[in-house]
Amino acid sequence: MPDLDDEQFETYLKGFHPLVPDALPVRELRRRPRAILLATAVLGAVATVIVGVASFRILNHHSSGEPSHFTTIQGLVPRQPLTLRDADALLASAPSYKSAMDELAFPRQRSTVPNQSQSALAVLGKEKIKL
Amino acid sequence: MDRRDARTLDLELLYRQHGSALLLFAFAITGDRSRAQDAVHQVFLKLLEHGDLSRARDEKAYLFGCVRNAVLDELKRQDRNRPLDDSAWFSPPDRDYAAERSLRRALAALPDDQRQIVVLHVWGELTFSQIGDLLEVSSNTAASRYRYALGKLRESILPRENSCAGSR
Repeated sequence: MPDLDDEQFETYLKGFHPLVPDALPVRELRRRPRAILLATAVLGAVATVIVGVASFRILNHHSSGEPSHFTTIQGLVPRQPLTLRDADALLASAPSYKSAMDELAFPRQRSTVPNQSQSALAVLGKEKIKL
Repeated sequence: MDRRDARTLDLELLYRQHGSALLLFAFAITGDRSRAQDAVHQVFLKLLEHGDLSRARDEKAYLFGCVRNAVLDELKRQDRNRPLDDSAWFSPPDRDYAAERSLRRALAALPDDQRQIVVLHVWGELTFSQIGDLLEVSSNTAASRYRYALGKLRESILPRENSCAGSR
């Protein structure tokens, strides 16, 4: 090796790299997941309590007999209950027993067709088509 | 990201940047790898827990100062004249472990203050002014001790290199 001046010798020394130290003991990093776990557990418990209280209130609401959303939805279907009086009146006014039964099974719908015009469906229904 | 997380990240970055030089510096004072490692860890863990580098005028010089204090405190409690251990200090160029050993021995043979100055200037990349502040000497004194130490190192290392060259 030739004689080196200070600068060259410094460069030579810098070619030796100090060893890398071991990783820091992760005291700090361990603390964080524990805090996160604790927060998650607390949030989970709070959510469970909220869901439990909400379920309890809904069940109480049902059992108190007040109309609920479900009964309201069912009530949207226009359906009158058949009473004995209605059945007697229908049998008395119907031309035959069969027509009374048909009327009970397939109640007539109100026609949306105006009085002056005819429903094509009704006309076709009256025609006797031989197959 | 809160302030504590930001500070932790800053310290991790500083550890990655200067950890090797800090370890070598601690090694140069204690001569014992595990003690040196403990001192560097102790400094960073204290800073992680309740330290504040924002007030430090020069973060790097401040870290070297902290490590020096930690090592000297430790040495006060233990045997100061313990011989240097034989574990490696450097990762040598071209895996020349003989050269690493030679450099390590040459460094170990230097007086404490000169050894510290060489490590701080060459591997810690501190200026003589920073070294002067750290070791409480003038920058001129630090510079002259450095040049003197460099001459001794060269005398210790080059005969081996020359003899190797001559044997080829």
